[in-house]
Amino acid sequence: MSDVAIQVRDVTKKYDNRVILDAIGLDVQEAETLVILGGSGSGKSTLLRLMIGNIIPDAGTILSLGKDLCAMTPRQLADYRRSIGVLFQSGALFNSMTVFDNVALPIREHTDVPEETISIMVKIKLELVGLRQHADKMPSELSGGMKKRAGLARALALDPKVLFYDEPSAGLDPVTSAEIDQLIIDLNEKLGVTTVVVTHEMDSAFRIADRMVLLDRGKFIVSGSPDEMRNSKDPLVRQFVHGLTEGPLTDRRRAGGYESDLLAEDI
Amino acid sequence: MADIATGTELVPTARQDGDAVLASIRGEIDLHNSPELRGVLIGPLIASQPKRLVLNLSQVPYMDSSAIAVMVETLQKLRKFGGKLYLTNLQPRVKGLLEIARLDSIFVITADEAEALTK
Repeated sequence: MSDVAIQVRDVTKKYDNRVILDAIGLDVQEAETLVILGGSGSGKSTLLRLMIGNIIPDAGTILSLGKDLCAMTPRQLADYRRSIGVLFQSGALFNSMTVFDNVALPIREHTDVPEETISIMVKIKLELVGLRQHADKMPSELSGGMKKRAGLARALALDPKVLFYDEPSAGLDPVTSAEIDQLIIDLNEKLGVTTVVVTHEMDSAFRIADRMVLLDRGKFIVSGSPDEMRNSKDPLVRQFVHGLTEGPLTDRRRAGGYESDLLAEDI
Repeated sequence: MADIATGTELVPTARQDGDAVLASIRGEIDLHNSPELRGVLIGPLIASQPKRLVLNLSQVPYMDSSAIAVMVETLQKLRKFGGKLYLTNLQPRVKGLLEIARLDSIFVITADEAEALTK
């Protein structure tokens, strides 16, 4: 049995009294790839932001790599953020720096490694994501997929033990998306990097996941292997996983009081 | 065969064997101690300009890309006088890192020191 890398315990998060996450619990095992599924507004991005220490919960605790994120000083939180890698949807590159300098930045800022070593490290990271030939380009010269890959190279800069991906396939063509997925798989399998992926792209999710959880209206509906999810009889899981046009998700939308809203006489 | 003074915990001993230098590295290598490794590898271990630098990694359960970068830098220096870098007794995670970084063909990887001295 592997150790737990991240423990989320009874976590609640609200925005303006609207409950986004409702007393949820989740364990992420060391070296597993966990995919968090959910539609827009399900709370999955909020959960990611909590796990990377970007925001704190209103209730509950989050232990990551053995540390309580809710009890950290700003300095401890900064140390924690150095031990993880995050690939944001946009890649989040600095537009005024070359791709090379974007990747080198965290190493230069947070370590005493000499520039000769940094130069080789950056080339290795860029080769990993297939961008070594584009090291001298500015972000504005890159396509969306290349920006995402550059963002991944930067997320990898400090050799993180845990990698978080926010919608890694969003906006990518199928081939680039499959390449990113393969990289996620390799990093996990060959280096044992604990991997948490937030996505609603099912093809990608099935390719990379060891385990999947489905978040709906701030609560986890189900957790299982890709096969268990694929074969689930739960109507909501079936609709989400198979992209069905009929089911609880669409029923809920239709029951939103459209008719009474239209026919109300107090216009 | 002669001992080479290294003075570090990471590389406690090294020895010269003909035109080869052999050293065992001990412990995990990451951003914190890779500069120490660099000081040894591109310092005393290649001072005699060996044709073969053989690093036994049997006691290295993990290394990060800064350690790999130090080895690449060492290889750059070795090549200037026709030397090669041999890595032996790799543990799975270290082998995985070399594979994923596509560096397993740049270094000469052997099962043990004996193979490194004959290959």
